[in-house]
Amino acid sequence: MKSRLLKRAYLFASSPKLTLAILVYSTFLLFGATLMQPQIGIAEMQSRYVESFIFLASPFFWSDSFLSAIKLPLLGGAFVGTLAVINLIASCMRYAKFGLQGFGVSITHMAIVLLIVSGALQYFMRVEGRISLREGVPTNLVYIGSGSKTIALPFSVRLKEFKDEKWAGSNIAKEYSSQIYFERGDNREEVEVSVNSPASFGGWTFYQMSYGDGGKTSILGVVRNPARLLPWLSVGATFLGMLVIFLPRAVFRRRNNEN
Amino acid sequence: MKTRKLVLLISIAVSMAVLSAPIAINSIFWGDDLFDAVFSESLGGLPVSKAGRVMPMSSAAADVLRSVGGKSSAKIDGEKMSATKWIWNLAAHPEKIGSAKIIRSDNKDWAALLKADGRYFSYSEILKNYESLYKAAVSSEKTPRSDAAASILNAGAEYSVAENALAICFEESMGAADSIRAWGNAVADAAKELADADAKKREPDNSKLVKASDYLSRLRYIADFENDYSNAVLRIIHSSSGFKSVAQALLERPPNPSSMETAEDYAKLRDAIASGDKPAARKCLGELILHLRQSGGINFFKLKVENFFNLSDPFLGGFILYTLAAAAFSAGMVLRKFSAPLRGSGAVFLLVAVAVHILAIIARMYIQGRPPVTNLYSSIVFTGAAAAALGYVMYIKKAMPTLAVSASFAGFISLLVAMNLPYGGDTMGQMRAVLNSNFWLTLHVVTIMIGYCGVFLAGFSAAFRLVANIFERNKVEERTSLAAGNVYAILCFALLFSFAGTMLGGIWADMSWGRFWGWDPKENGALMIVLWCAAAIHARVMRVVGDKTFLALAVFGNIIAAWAWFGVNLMGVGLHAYGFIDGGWFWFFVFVISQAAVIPLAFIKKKKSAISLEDGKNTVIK
Repeated sequence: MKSRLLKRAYLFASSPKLTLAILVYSTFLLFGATLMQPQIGIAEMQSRYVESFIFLASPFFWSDSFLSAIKLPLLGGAFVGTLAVINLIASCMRYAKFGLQGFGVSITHMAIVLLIVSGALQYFMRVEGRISLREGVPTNLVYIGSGSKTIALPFSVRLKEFKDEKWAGSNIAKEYSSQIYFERGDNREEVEVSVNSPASFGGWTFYQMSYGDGGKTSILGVVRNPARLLPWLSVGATFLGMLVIFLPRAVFRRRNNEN
Repeated sequence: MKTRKLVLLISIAVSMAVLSAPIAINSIFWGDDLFDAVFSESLGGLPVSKAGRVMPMSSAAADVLRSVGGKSSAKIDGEKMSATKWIWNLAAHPEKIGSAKIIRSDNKDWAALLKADGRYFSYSEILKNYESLYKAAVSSEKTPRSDAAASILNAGAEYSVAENALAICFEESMGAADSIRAWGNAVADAAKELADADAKKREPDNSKLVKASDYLSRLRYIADFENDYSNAVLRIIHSSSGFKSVAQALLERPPNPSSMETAEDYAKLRDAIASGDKPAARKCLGELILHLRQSGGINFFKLKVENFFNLSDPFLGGFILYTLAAAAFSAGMVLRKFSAPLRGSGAVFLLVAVAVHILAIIARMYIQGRPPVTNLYSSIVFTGAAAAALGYVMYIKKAMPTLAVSASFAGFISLLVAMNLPYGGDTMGQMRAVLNSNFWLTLHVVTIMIGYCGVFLAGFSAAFRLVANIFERNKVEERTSLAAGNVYAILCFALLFSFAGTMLGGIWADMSWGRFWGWDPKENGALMIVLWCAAAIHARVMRVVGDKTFLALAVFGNIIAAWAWFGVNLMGVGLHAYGFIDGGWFWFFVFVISQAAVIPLAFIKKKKSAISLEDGKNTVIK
């Protein structure tokens, strides 16, 4: 009895229809979430639809009448992600083959599991904030989220100079950069942070975000992310896996046609 | 064999005629080789710096015309003028040009008030109604009317900046060259008077200063105005320190002799054109170009390439050739009797169209010094070329006319959309700081666009097969299965590239802003494409659906790709603005509905061979 139940669960978890359902459902979930985004903002959208297991949505969301009070429970991104991990692992166990193709298929799908897991890990481990630097004034205060919460860095940051370069004869920004010092005790390090080229110190990475006060204040994004490299790895592995699946087939097909 | 050669020759001749048409029409009918000449020097080829990019005057003038009125040529008193001719006439005859209706607004209230012909009205009407426009534009209430007023004023400002771009006349009766001379004399007189008064310790005679002060305030006014509309200014005076506008060059103290010489040459040119003296204008042009060449620092070859690009309008030629190719291939599918010659000429048209399309993209890359995709416009142009080229190669290999029709159709649609995109400024403009990285632009954007092109090519091929199924009687099942195989191959290609492109975007974002994924609409759209491709591919590989349903899934991919590409761009503008279905949204919905209408075709069962057509799950895969 128990084993039969287990077997049915396994068959369900590894069923191709579930795979398809997950893919199609997440496409439409993303679409709906994107539509809601102008109304509620990205942060709210993310927490309501992507990071949730279940959420309530009205099928009449555009209406102002009583109809909009009717709400249906729908599965959120976290639930779909969990289901996808289960489905991917179960399907690989059930369908995986030996040989080059099978190897490619397994690599691709396991790397996607890693990608989803690393997304979850980043949700728990990643800290993101902003630091506002006035020229010459050292600070270690980082504003988290909408700015209501702050944390203190174990070192201080001082802005030496902010530069804002325009394309000649226009007001189109060519480059923003901040010359900053990191100061911890007697240890002092000078670096330049510019758009597309961040700098790291003590496990935190600093990104040029914007500026204010006519260039007297530079605003940097500050991120601490121990799981940073996981998505890079999994994405690379997925891509390689896909190459292993598709390339031999493309080459093989071509030969077939020539003969 | 003979007819085949004949057909090929005729097709090649037609292609060449189409490609040379813009230049031929220009030089025979309404062109003027003082302004626009392909091989000799002309006013359109003079260097101008606008919005941070050095370009030929033909580009800068067309940029002004497009941003005020959406068109790249003007019609003045029934005479069609190229952009170059327009801007020189604007300097030479400001009243005449000022009363021509070339500025556009889509707001009906304003159009009526400004006495528009349809949507077009004149600059002098803006000046007459300046008060009410200004009042509406600065009102705290944001309505379509106030937005329209603001954009009309903006167009007016760009126009007025262009009016003083080539030469400045202090008075109507005074020519530009006389104005420069008068300005120099007035400054000299004033300086002399001041020095004299200083030496004799007396009050300076104001009457001797008033002229210089008048001219000074006039030039300052122009220069300040240009500062406010920095991206609209045509900077024509080149010196070692870069490009300056005429007003800036005249204000420079002490005057830079080389800049002054250029300004005087331009002034003489303007005066010659104003008096209709063409030989004099040509002589001045020769002197000006000689002077510019001697001063160095300008890449004249690049200017020539861009000017030639403007005159020959390769995307228009490509567009017509794609249309011809699609027509020839479609006709070949219907008229089986003439199938071979029609296909032959279709192949020639398509080949020439793809070649021109790609060459034009390469020319743009050379001019801009950037990868092929930098903005929405170039993404459309690039994706169309990639889809057409890919489809052409597959057609040559598999000899399936549906692929050729899809390829021509993809090229046709992309150029049609690109040519009708609302004007958002120079399409080869400078990149903002965030995008100022050729490495990442190439890697991320080009990859993802190749992915999009795969999705569309697969979607169009699938759509054509589903439509063709209605008309065909024989071998329907076999053809459907073959098409499904091809669509599957293209979708795999699309998945590979759109996945790589999307994730490269993640890595770029992680490196530049510290986040891999931000759930913004564009990212979501890209992920939706990846998910949908994966869904379609899995549906086939795992044998969940049959050939026809698979084709329907591929067609739906078109809708998703259109959403990811255009829909999300429209969302910010359209959803909350008035008139939900205007412009972009309208065409977006037309496209979505056209694709959605094709999908049910997959589920129609023909009576004649109902059994064999049943969405067979037994079709051989791989």
